[in-house]
Parts: sequence; C-alpha cells; structure tokens
Amino acid sequence: MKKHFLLTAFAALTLLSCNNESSAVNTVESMKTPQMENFDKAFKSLGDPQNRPTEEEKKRNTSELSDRRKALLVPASKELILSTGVTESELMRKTGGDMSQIIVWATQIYMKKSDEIRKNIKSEK
Amino acid sequence: MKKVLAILSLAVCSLGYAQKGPLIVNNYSIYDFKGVVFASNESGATCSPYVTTRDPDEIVIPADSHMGNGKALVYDNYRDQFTNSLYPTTTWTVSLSATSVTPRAWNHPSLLPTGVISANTRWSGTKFRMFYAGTNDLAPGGFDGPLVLPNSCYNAPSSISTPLGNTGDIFTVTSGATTITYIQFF
Repeated sequence: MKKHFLLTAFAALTLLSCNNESSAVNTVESMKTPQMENFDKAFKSLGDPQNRPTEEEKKRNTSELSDRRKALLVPASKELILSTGVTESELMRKTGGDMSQIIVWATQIYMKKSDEIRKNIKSEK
Repeated sequence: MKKVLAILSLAVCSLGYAQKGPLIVNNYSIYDFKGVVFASNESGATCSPYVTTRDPDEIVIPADSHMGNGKALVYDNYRDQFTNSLYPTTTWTVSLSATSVTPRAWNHPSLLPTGVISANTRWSGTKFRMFYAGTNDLAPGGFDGPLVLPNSCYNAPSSISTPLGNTGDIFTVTSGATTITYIQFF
C-alpha cells in the first residue's frame, strides 16, 4: 500500500516537473516587454486590409516601404527605443525624427532583446 | 582565370547592390511556408550574381512563425545565418553567370560578409508555396509564387493576395548604411 502511495507521489512529481518544462518553453512570448509586444503588433498590422499596399504604392517601383505604411510602425518603434532608457530628446537628436532610422533602430533593439530572451530560456533549462 | 575576371568585373560594375542588413521573414499565416530565399544583383544585363538557398532543399517556416514568438527566419548574412538562425542554410547556390553555377558551403570564403559576393548582392526575394500546417497539401486559393523587390531583372510582384484573403509582401526599410529586408505572410 505504502509502495503504491509512493509511486503515485513520484508519478505526480514527474508530471509536475514536465509541466514546468513546457511553461519554460512558452516564455518566449511571456517574457516579452509590453513595448516589444506593441512592436510585434505594429508589424502584424501591415497585413490588415486597410494597411495593404495601395495600387498606387504598388506602382512606385521602389523597394522601400511607403511613408504611409512606415508611419504605422513609428509609434511602437519609438516606444521600444524609449523603453531602453533613451530619452525623447536623444531619440530626436539621433534620428532627426526620420521614420526609417527610427524603425531600423527599433528593429535592431527588438532582435537583440529577443535573442537575449532565447538565451535566458536556454540557460534555464 | 575567367572566374577571377568575372568576379573583378562584378566588383566594378555593380555598386548599390550590397548586403547591408538582415533578411527577416515573418509567417503570420496559418500555413507552412516551403520555398527558397535569394539575393541578387539586378544591375546590368546579366542580373548576377544570384545566390539562393539550395534547390531543391526547401526552407520550411511553419505556420505562425514570426518575430512575435521568436520563430521568424532571420538571416544576418550568408555565413552567420548558419550559426544564428533557426533555419540554417548549409549550402548556397551561387550563380556568377548563366554558365557558372556553383554550390557553396555557408562558410566558403567567397561568402564572407566582407567578401565580393556579399558586397554585390542584396536580399531580393523568395519563391514559395504554402501548405496546410504539417502536411504536403497545398494551401487553398493559390497562396504561392515569387515575391521580389521591384527591379529590372525579374518580372515578379512585390506583393500578392489570394482570393481567400491571404497576402504576402516584401519591402525594405533603409537608414544610412543599413537596409533591413522584410518578407511577411498573412
């Protein structure tokens, strides 16, 4: 009887530990900051029907994202840059308010942060 | 010798097409992406070099793989993608001309970030088909095709949409010396 009880307890523990593992896997998303999340949402919003390239934008014959669509990425990009401790005036000084510079800077911050999160998760395992 | 000449002439004639930043592929769609990504030089008449992940080995980017969940395809350059990317390409196919097509390992000297191929090609597109997640069944509505930055070499769209509302887009955001190339599927 005792043996059975121990076995059950052991099985329960094993299950618990497996559960923990899967929660660690999930943390790529749960460890993101709110600013990172908004940055994701901004990029995803480029697929919304009203944000798709217009006929005119398609005819521009340039690789660069249109200013209209860049503007959709700027607020979240700024937020993400400011969340690293950069001040508003530093941001303006460095980028001159240029949308492309703000988006590229924010993308670089984003990639670095998500690399760090991935590494942290790996080292926890 | 011919090859050396070809490479030298490339270095001279093809300014403006250089790898100046990462390629990021976000697959927000519910379908699996199977296909290749490529870089090229679209100046001049030869439209080369052309560097592609090796056919027929396709890259598979599962449904719902994007920056948001850390599963986007990110290639920094021909070499570093092998160690840093979730979707490492072991061999690139490098075309210097129609008659010179060579498989090259990811760490081949000619593919270094500072090398002549990198200096003369930019991330420029993808050829892909979408499949129901985890299967070999094609996604409905013709969700496939090439998706290429506007250029004078390949007559292909930079954005597509299917009758069922799936869409795809390729574009760049450029700031000074850095160009980030994004490909997104919805």
